[in-house]
Amino acid sequence: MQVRDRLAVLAAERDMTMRDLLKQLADATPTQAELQQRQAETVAFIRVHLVPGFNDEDLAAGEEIWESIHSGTLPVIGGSAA
Amino acid sequence: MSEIDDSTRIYPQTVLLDSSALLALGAGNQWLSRLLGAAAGRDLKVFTTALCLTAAVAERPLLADHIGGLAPIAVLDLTYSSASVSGTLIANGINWRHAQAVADARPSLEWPDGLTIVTTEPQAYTAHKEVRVHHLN
Repeated sequence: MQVRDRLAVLAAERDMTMRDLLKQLADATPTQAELQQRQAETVAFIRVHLVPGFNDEDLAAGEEIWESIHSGTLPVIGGSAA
Repeated sequence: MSEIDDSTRIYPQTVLLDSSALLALGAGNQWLSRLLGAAAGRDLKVFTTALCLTAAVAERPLLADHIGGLAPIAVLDLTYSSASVSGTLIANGINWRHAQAVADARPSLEWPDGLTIVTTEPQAYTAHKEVRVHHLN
């Protein structure tokens, strides 16, 4: 099914126009500016409530943690590693 | 770990914080803060469950405000399916604080690889080899 046809089916099933469906999908996907704002707010919250010295090096370390999660190299017990 | 075909993955791999991890987060755990700080900039979600949150807040009531203030954390509801599986797990001996973590971390249609449980209590999951557990030091 072509993307346009699929969107038409999804919109019809929800009793929405394609325009409304596309707007809903777009609204649910944050822009880069919104992500930056969200990260700034999260970092500020962490500094105030959890880790006062949280800095850019911690963010870089966090990226490495996510890389290990996505690449399957995070040390785990059980599951498919059992 | 086994090879994972990314082309068939519906959602990217992520983790599930159990009640012990939530308490560690509230106590200022650096690894978790890093995980969440980086997640916020990439629209990545870190999950916990309704029962994990309940257990953690029961032990440390102020924790609810901390969890609620962190946008990357999403709480998985205790749905009919989760409640059914969790109840069965509890009947079979698992502590209620860990039951929904096991129920929701198992491989599913939504997460074919399952979710990795992050915990300071890995021994709580030794009877459940079907889930992956990361020991939070």
